[in-house]
Amino acid sequence: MAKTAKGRGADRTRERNRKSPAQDDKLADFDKRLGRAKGRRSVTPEATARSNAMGTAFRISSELVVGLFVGGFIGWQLDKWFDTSPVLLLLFFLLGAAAGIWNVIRVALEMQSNAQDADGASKKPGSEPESR
Amino acid sequence: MPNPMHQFEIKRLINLEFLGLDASFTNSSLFMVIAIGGITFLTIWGMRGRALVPTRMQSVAEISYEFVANMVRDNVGSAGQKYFPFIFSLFMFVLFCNMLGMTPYSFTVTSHIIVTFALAAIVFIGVTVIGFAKHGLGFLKFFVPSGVPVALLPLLVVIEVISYLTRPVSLSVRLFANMMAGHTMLKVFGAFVVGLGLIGGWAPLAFMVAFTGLEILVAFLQAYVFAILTCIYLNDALHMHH
Repeated sequence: MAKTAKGRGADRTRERNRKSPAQDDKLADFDKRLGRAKGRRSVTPEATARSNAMGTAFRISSELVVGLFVGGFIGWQLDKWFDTSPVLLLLFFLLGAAAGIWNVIRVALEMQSNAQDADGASKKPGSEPESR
Repeated sequence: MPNPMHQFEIKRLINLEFLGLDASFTNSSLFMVIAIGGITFLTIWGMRGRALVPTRMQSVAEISYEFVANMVRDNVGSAGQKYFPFIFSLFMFVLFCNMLGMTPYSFTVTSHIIVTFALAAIVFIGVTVIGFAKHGLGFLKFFVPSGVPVALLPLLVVIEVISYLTRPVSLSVRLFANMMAGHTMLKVFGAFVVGLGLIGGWAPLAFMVAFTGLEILVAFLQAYVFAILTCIYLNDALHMHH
């Protein structure tokens, strides 16, 4: 949004300044300096990708652990309720583990389809990746 | 050696009682108010100029707006625009609480599981209500995976339900555990610096400088993960695919 607004603004400024070559020079100089400043910036695409990967790693690791806890907790409470200790605790502990692993698989599948989407989009610029 | 957990202690600043419940204004409440004040200041005072070429403040406010707007658009699509204000508030609140916690002598609101769990519970209940409001009882189909043999169905439905119930827990535990572990670590190594003194204290000090940088990254990342998972859960409720 702001990008287009800024672009339009820059165009307008350039149009206004067309008559004075001195100011045109100034603008070109500004562009050059801006380019240099942008080149100095340390935020590279790899850094962004790395922090994204770290976010996913946090997500996956907690998903795995929390599944066990939630399954175990449900089993424990049901056991207390039905007085069947420890049958349901054990059963739901395993089901919780399954749920945790299933969550991790789901995240991985999602990552894979995202990567394929990105691949397809870069090969065929006409096809827009559909929002899931 | 100072107690590393001491920093998480809740202190009552103003004693209040509401219907027999302890509703005191604590240091935690104070930092929540500071966070909300900071966000309001940034978004309202920072945007007061509405300049075409933004000031630094306006630029920060615009960048955070666009960041969240893009996140909602990419993960939920156009149907999510309605929920943008909520996700923006959530992201900014968690981000400010995390970042305020990085200032010395401050209190980290998000290092208490009850705070993060309350936030996650709002998301969980809200998303479930949206799902049922949008699809009626058809939302229950969300728990029935398609294309599996009928014999396996009872097992898989139970697993799906458990997996759905893990959402608020994993959402809150991740944020709380990261914040608490990080701040405990900082305190422990801070004590090492003091304990080892002028001779040996330099090594933990160097580690602490690097670790503070990592903690700032984690503070941002956890706010981002919290917001993006809210988007993903919202997308599931609105469009019902996995």
